[in-house]
Amino acid sequence: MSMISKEEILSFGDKIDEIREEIAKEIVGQETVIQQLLTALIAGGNVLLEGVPGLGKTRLVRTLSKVASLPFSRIQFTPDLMPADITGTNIIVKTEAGNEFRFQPGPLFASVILADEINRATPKTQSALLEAMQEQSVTVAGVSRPLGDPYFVLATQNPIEQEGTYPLPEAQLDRFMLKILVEFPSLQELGQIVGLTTGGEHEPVRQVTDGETLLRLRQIAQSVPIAEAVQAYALKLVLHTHPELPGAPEITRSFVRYGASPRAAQALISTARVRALMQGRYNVAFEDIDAMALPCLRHRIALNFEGLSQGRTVENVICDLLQDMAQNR
Amino acid sequence: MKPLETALRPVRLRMRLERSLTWGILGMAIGAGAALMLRLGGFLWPIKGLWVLCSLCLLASILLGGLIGFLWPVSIKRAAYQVDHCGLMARVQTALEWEKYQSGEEHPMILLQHQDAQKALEAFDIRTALPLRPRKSVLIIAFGLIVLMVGLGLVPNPQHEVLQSKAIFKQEMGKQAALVEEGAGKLETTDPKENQESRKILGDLARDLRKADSPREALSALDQAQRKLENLWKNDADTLRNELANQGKNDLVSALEKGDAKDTENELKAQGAHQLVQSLTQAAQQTTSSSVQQALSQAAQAVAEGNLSQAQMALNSIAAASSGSPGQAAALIQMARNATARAGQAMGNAVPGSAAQALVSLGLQAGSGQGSGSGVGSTPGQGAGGGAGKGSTNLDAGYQNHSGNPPVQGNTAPKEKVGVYEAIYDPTRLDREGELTRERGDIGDGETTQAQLGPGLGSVDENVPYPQVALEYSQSAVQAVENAKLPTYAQKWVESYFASLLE
Repeated sequence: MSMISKEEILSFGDKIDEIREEIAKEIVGQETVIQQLLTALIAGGNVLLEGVPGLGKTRLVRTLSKVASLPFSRIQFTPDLMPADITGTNIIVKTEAGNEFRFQPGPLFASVILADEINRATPKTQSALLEAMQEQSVTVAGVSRPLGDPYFVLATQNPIEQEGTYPLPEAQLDRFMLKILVEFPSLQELGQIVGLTTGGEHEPVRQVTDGETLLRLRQIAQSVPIAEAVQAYALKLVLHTHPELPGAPEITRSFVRYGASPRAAQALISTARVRALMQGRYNVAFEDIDAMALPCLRHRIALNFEGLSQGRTVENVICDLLQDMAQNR
Repeated sequence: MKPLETALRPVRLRMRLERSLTWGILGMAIGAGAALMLRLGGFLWPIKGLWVLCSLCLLASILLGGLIGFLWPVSIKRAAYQVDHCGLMARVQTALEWEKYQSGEEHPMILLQHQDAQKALEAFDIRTALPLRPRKSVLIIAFGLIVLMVGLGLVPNPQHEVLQSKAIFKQEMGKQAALVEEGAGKLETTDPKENQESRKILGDLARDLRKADSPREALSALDQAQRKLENLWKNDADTLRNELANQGKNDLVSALEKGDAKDTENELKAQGAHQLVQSLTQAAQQTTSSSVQQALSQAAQAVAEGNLSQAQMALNSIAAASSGSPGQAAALIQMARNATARAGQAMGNAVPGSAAQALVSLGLQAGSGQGSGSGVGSTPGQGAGGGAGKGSTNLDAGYQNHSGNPPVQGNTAPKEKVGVYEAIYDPTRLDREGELTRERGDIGDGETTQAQLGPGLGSVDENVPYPQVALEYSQSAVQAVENAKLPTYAQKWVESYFASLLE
């Protein structure tokens, strides 16, 4: 890729705003969700969206793919879904030369993948996503096939109705850069949603960007400098989630079973860089780390029995950790 | 890229000012604490110039804290951290770190970041972001301590009286020192060398008196001066006696030793005038001491003129000095001693044993030495003797003994033991074990002497009635005076003084 120009950097914010505005045509409210989603998209990570049904998760992802003009696939995960159903399979095709095996790509061969209700599929199918998410390639019948770039997996899961579901294993959860909670809209937002969806026609969503631009934005974000102190702060935050490590805070030792992986540190720094640019800054600040701590860490930390029995949540443990660390910045 | 150091300069200055203020106030709190301690200490010990000391302590702490706070350098990194903390969101820290990697072809992101940081720094309102606001808690503590200190200053302090009396004492000592100096200037003795020595001793005494902070120190200086003077006189007196003894005038020597003018005159009468003139002239020729030579010559001339009383005075002027006869210098010392005793009494309990010390000054020679020796010599009257000297001062009984077998030449009296008399009514040793002192004896004085001072009469909780104290002092004084080789008029003077105390 060519060297980034000053103009490109300066136009980063405008581009993001443009995308955001287009998404806002279809999605009412949910600013934080949209911002975090765009952050993960630009940082090159996958996202796990958690929220009750009907909050517009699927609509959001579909809109994003439209805005970015990216190939979009939606996979509805069910218990009987098989890995081949998502990765694709070799099928016999009659040709003039005779019968031959030809690879029929599955829905994973797109740029934006919506894995709807991912926790309803069996672990076998869930794990089929692992390679696609991490390596951006799919191996079928011993042949590894690369997926497109950008490649963005958005999985959704329903926090209620846990019966008959298969909770995602830690290894798979760790592969999601962010876990975003989709909150119920406010009264005003709900009114707007109703008006938008039950009324007449509304302004269609325009394509304002493309895959190449998104990759360029990612490259720009990666060049954002970070001060040693800020980086150390992010790394320390991740280390402080580990109860077994020396110097772990009291809250971690009391309530945490296991802490965040090094991927969490990578995710924190990458997303903080994007956030800084979105805020119109050219450096990462402590505030960026703080802002990205919850979506980056909440699915990577598990509470122990004591934490659960005392009604603690991962979120408030992280908040306490941040509060503790802010005093010693 | 324009370095950030310049842009950060006002921030660093502001931080130094802020720290100077903080440390100055911290210094004020510490200084106020120290001043408070001083003031509390002022209730236990007499501290001169307490207000000035407290103020100085406070002022010095503030200045020192402020100065160190201002002069202590602020690193550029620290300044960057500080401004970032005040809302610049790590801009300056980042820019500063990336400045290190300047290569001339910076990444546009780095350039933009640097520009952004500089822009933010330019827009940074130092006064609002870094206000010169002292920490209230420290300020309150400091003021609280100051108020407490000032409040304590208003509480009546018993040590003030002590200080006042000390100041009066010091003033009195200054006066006495001036008088001693004046007296030393007018001092006239027959021997110029002795004159010079005496002036030097009195000069030293005046200096010591000025330095003296307590009656004890003043009296010690007086004792020392008196001892030196006595040594000076004693040499002459011994020389005179030896010269007369060598001329076979032992009866005359005995009369001179007694210090009785009449006896001396009678002895002079008993001698044949011609022989006496011859003996005195011969003795004057043989002696090396100019003052003794002058006295002997004057005596010889007076005998030749038939004026025996003048001869007796000439001889006694030298001989009496060995028994503490009040010459000009002795009179000066005695005067200073009396003034010290008075000033010490005015100080109340600050003068341990001052009266007793005055007594001892009169009974210095009360101890009598005994010794016998035999000598062989080619010339008559010269020889070395060995014997035992033993003696005690009047008031030392029960506290001190001298013993030893030093080589002595003729009869000699033991030296005064300084401070032993303080065993009587010394408030500093009440209910205590007392002090162990050792004093090395000189030739003719015995060996090292060890003395255990008693605990002092009375006790801390007990008041000894004045009549009892005065009576005991009086008895001791009378006994000391009787044993001392003092002229009769001096004995009467001491007796009448103590009698007046008992009235």
